Amino acid sequence: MTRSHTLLVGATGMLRGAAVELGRHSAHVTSIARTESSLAHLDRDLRGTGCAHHPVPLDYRAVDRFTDALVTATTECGPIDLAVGWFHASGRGASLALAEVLSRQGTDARYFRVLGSAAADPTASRDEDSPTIAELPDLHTRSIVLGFVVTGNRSRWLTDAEISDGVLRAIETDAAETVVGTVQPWSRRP
Amino acid sequence: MSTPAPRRGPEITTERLFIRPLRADDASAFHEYRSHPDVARIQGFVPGSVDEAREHLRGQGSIAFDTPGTWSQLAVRLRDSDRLVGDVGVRFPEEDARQVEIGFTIAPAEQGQGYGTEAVRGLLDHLFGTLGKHRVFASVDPENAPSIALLERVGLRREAHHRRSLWFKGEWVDDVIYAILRSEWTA
Repeated sequence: MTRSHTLLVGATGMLRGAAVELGRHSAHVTSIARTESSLAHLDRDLRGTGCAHHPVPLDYRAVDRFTDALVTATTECGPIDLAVGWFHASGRGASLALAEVLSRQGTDARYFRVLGSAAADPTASRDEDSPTIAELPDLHTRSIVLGFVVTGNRSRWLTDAEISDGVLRAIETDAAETVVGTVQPWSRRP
Repeated sequence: MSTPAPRRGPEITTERLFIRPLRADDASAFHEYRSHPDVARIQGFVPGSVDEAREHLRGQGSIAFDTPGTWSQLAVRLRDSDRLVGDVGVRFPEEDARQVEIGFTIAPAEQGQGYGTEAVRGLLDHLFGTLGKHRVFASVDPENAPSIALLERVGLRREAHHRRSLWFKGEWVDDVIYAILRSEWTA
């Protein structure tokens, strides 16, 4: 399947493998990240995948500038079909802004929010943004929770390859929530 | 006869961080946060320039990890962007390297997000789980409340408060010792 426009936020590191694979199936890829050197690295990796890559060096915590960049991207490359976003806790406002831009497109875009294992912490309070984002019209939101791996009496965090594979699998299956690795039992979290 | 290459330092992966030996190409970011006044005030080594930082890190590259009588410094980088957000250090005492001292620095702009706690937890896991160290300790300024909170959060106990025991930046200062045993870490 070839998508018209894929948006990646925070995908220059552990999600780079997934970004490259998505590049193979997208006409345009816009990637937004804070670190220019990492963005340049991703740009090199995306060459030869067939997509037109549009790197945008930007700190998403500046939400207004982030929103402007999204609007510019959709103006220049068309509506975003698929968005994959990894935001730090300090970037929750940007995640919501992205969802609102996608919703305003009115094109039933899909937004995959990549979340740390803390999203599955049974003792933590609920993510306040989730209900708001889920209620936005013309937008399908999905959650991908990055868990851990338990082997015998040891546990460890996911490798970059496992994370990228898990994200690609989640996009393919299109489930509302996907856990990469496991978050059970929580007491075995590394 | 060729000289054996120094033992490479560890590569530690935590949920959000990748920890590996500092390299000369980390010099720019390393200098930036290490020369920040809030960091320079409490750290012994403050590089005066990027070149000085680069020389220091080159020297680090020639030190084999886990060698008695040395300090090794490791870069703390974000897995999502490969950005350097701080460093952790390990001292392997000459007299007994089964007991090691640790230190940590997180760039002021990156503090408050739990990176220090996550890095030290990952480091302790490596020191106890992989290297089988017996005891890990840290020396900290008693006025440095955030660092003390971090050490307590990851399970270190306060063992001592030494009065005017350390000559630091031209004056005698107090230092507090925190420590944890392998048996406590794995309990």
